[in-house]
Amino acid sequence: MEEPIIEVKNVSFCYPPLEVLEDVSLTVKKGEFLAIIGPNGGGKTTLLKIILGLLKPQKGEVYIAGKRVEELGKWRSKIGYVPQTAQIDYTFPITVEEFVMTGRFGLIGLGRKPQAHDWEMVRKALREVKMEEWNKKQIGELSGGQRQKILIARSLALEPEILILDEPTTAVDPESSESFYELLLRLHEQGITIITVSHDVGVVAQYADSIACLNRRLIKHDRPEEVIREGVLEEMYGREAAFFHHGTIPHIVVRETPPER
Amino acid sequence: MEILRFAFMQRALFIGLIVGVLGATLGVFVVLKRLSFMGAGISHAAFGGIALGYFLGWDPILTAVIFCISVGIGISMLIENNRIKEDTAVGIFFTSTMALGILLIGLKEGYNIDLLGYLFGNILAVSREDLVISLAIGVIIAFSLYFFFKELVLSILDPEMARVIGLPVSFLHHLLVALFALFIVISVRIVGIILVSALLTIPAATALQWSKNLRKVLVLSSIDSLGCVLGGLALSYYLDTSPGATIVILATVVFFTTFLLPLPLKKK
Repeated sequence: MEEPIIEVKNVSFCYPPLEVLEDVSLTVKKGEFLAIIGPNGGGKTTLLKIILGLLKPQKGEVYIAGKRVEELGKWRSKIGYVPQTAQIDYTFPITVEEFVMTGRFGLIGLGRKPQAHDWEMVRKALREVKMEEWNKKQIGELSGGQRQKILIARSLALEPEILILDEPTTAVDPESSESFYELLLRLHEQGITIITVSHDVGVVAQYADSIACLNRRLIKHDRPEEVIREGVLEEMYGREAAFFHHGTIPHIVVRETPPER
Repeated sequence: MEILRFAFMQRALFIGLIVGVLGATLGVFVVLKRLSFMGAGISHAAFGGIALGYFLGWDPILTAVIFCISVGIGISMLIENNRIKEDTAVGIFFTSTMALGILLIGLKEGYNIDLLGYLFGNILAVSREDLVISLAIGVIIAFSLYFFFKELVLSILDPEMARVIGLPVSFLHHLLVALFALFIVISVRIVGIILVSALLTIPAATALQWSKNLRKVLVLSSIDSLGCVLGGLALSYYLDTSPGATIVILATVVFFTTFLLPLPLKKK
């Protein structure tokens, strides 16, 4: 857990006239489990998309494994991504297992067909999210939570070195959500670098190595247990908002939904 | 089969075979990517391309292919960053390229009657060279679809993920448009540019009602399309009707028959 695998350097991004990210820098080490929290509109999804190279920042650079994200090339196929709202046409005539296989297309390469090993990885990924019995179903037949699970399975199927997740448990029931975080922990133990955006501060604080608070600007805490002290967490669940104080800039985390417990 | 006695009919049926299978396969991608209207626009733009070819004294079909691909790129440029909506952009190119065609024909001395053949098809005009060209283009289309099959699937199903794993999404989009333009070349004699897009839309739309399995959809679409193209050609011979129009009407009848069938019959 020494070498940096993701480096975000002085990134600024705006959807004119709205400034979404201001001079954001972030270093994620190989094997680190980072959770990004912050209010809606704070730029979390935008930051993930910049890290993935889907959006180009007006200022700053992103490096992954030492290469500029625009020049990643084949390395791209080692990044698993679970979007918050996937722009997927669920009427598309494709089965669950074929859908999960699409995650491996970058690895398989142009003009080649999936081999037995690829299908084995797809089955393994579906087992991880407990969807193996649904493998032959058309993706449109799935519920919202199940759709989320196959998105996760697709990101696992490519045997990722980096896993980037944007509120992965939003549509999933609490039980599946818990087993999902257990799964992330197992992957983390295997040395996979994980970045997840979450609203559920209490949960991610248990699992993550570090927490980054993002609201236009980013502040990273390498020791979450010190930042989110016992008292602070209770306070967050009981109130509309919680303040974090660190360094010279106090920042605020606003909860959008009432607590579910 | 007296229909097979005529050399032109043999050639038309042979091209019909290629057109039927490839139109159906390409059409599944076109329909799934919701490019039906774009396809109609681009095939109509072929009229402008053919007229331009005549006007400049170039090969009309070749000019039309390059023209159509340019129109496809032009539409993509207009809709980039959502500045203009796609249907608006298609609507603009659809009409302006046809207007250009009419203008150029007017400017050229001596109206060439063969333009009607391009618009509505003319199976009597199918030459030996047409056979060779159709076969060559058919191989290009079939190979491209085979080679880029899974990449096309992902870029249509989930373009964002396609970009994350590094697929050239805009290249794949332009590839589809280019294949579309090439398809116009091989089907122009049979159905004409006005009706070409029907071959890329109707059999695929019919097959998508029958199955939710992509491979089955491709097979069903091909069978439907082949039946309609060859059946339509034969029917037009006996009924003495326009081949292109007969093919399209036949395909439409199959589509609506499928559409009106009760759901349980169509499941899987």
